[in-house]
Amino acid sequence: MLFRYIKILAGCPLNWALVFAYIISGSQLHAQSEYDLSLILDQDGEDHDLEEDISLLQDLSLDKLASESQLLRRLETLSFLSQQDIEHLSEIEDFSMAHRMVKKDEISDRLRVVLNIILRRDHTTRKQQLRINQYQSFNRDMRYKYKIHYVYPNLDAGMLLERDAGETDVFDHRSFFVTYEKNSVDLFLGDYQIASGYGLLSWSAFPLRKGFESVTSLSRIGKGIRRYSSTHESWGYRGAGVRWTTSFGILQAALNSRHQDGHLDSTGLAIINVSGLHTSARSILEKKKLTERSAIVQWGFDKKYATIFATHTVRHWLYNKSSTELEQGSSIAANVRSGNRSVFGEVAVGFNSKTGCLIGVEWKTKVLHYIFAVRKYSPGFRGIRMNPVAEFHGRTLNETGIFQGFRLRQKRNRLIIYGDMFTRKLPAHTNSNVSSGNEFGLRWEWRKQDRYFKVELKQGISWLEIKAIYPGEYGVGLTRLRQLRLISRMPIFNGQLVKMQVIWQTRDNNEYGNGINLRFSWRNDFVTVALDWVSTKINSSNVRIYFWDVNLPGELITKLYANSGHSIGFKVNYSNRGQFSTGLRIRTQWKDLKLNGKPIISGALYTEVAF
Amino acid sequence: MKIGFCAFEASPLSSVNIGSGQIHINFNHQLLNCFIDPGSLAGLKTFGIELASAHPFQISGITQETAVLGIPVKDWGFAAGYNSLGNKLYRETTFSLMVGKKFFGQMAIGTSLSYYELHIVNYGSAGTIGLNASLSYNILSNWILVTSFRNINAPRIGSSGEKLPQVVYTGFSAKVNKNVKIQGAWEQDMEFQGAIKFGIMSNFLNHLTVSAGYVSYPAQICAGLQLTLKNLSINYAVSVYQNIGRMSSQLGIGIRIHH
Repeated sequence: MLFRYIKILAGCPLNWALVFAYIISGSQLHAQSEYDLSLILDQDGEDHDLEEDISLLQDLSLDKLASESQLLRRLETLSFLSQQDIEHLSEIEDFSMAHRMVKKDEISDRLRVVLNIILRRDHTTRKQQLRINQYQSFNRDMRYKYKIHYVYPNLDAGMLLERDAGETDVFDHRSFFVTYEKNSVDLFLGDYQIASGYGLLSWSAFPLRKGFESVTSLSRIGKGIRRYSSTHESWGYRGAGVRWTTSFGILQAALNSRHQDGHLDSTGLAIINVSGLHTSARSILEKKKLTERSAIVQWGFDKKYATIFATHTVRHWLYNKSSTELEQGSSIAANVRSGNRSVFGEVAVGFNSKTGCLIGVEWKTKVLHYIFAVRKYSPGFRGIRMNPVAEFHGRTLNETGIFQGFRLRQKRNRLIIYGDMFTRKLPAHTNSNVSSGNEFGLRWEWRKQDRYFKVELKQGISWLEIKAIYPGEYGVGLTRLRQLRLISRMPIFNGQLVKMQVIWQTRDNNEYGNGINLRFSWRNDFVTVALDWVSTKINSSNVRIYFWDVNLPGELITKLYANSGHSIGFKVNYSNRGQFSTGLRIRTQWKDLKLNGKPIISGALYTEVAF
Repeated sequence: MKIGFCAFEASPLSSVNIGSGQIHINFNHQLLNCFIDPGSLAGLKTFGIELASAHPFQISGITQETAVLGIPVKDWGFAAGYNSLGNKLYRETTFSLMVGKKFFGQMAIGTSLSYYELHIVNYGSAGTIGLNASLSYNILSNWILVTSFRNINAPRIGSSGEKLPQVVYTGFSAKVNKNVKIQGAWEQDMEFQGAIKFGIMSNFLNHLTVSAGYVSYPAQICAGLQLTLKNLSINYAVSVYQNIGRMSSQLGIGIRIHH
């Protein structure tokens, strides 16, 4: 019976395709889409991890089963799109409308690139589809990742098998998901994540960082459950969930039971090892020792004029056959829109009854975008997977802050200014009292098709009141961080691109980190080549610098530089008109400006095949 | 055969594969390689038996014997294997059942279930079960990519729970022309340093196949020879360990029966 079933499947026009749109359209599309993504997401390397978003975008660009409207609705779950992008997407019902939207000036570059990727996909339909992605990276040890994704009408299933360098298990991390959509009900089985409100209770693995992107992204409200296939091992939930869209609103509920690496401290607080590595004696000892059991219920509605969600979570831990007390948290989040104004925010009562809130207003026109937001997280505030915008992140939150940002758009010019002030009270037993600070940023950018020029200035100051030996006396510690960044990209003959980036950073006037990155990219119908050079002069790891690495398709990795030295990166990608594609990247790094010492060599290899 | 550092580290290979740098890819369709590359059974067309006897490091008293029986059933390939390494005092024995099939014309998946038994005279015996898997597909008409996983289930043996080797192999085999094939692979043991392997095989005479290869860790230079007469093949391989100046050798014989 099984053999007959497999024969029937084999007779169907099953298409095997691996990773990204260029499987369908050839290497030219791959190169351009990868380019566009890495460049329009050209933000600080410290900004949030995009692995899950890139994976989703790849899957959508290769999906030959979903209808046009289904694909467009799924684009709304991409976390790097702003609230305004989501609103534009909600206006599009099919690809003909999407083609018109792409030409409008008022949409963001990110949305334009994303829509172009989807619009250029192969429009031939399939009855089912299976894709396999194989990726290996080499440094002192091998890290590998296998992703399998199967799509059938209304069904979406995937598996991720991964091993980090140095791990002692063949598959250190295993993840799977199944989603089933039928009429107004979506079912989730396996690994999933929940983006709720503004992250006070539950959010994706990385928070929205305060910065230039926050001006347009801060008001983006999370809308609940979606699949999870990231290599961040501790963040996703594991179990089952459902989303039911009714005339009375959207009801979402999920149960979770998963093992985590960690232990309970003396106060009963779960200490999770989030690195995902199991190479030290302690990490091996703590591997999968904690069991988290939780439930989340969310009700809300998402209309053109308002999005409101109420969420309630409960959780407890099991450790060494003992169980902790039940923790509960609740929140209400809303984004209410009227014309070109909106009010947004979330108010939450977290675990251990601590409160937190984030409230803001936004005003946007074609030319101007202004946002103002206040946040207050009481000391000890905790959520189940909290990750709101904040200056200080940790197991608990403790912060009061004000953020405002301004963006002006005039023809090809964009000016973005933001400012943030923050303060927190430190525990009495520490040697310091209050930590406060502010941050300011100014960016000017000019764009014309592939040409692009950007200047950024950032400054951050933080104060720490230090208790002296004698009661009542205090000292003040002050840290000042400044950064100036210049980025330029321009095409040279036959559409090849060269990009240059220069960073100057100083901290307290005696610590500095300067870096320059030059990248040359060349491509033809079959081959894409990139050559990358980085030089840094850094006298303190407090002023580390991030540059994008030479990435293979499906990667958006940044590289951290904390020492002086040079680094050369090389990437070559070959694609045989959709039948086969392979890529290799190598990076050689010298941690010495005079190129002394043995260089560190690392690399990665990926393969993909379309049957 | 490959000798390493702990129990059951030695995994059977055909003499041609040993000569090609201890490559795990069954590019020459030999049954002895199915322990590591069970997916290659997908291409099995005839009944076959292969036997091999090896002398690790030429240390007297220590031998390795391997036997595999392969049976094709419709589109599936099945095999049963036996491997034993040791001497009168110490013996590692492996019994394996292997299966492989090709899906959608180009992708082969296989798996094998192995029972490992360790016996030490006057000490006792212990056993455990291991699961292997492999996946291969053509990336071009003459190029094949293979990835194999050994002991996915992280088996442990004995009352002290000693770990058995867990290894990942990734490699390719390419047919350069009618008579020449090249191979390259990376082998990563979860406990030890990885190794790069590469080799070349040629049948420049109708019935004679020669192979040569290199392994980076532990450093080895390898060579192999196979004589094929109708359904009978006789093969021999040597592997020289540069760091210790020792050599291992293997003699094998294979029979294929068309049905």
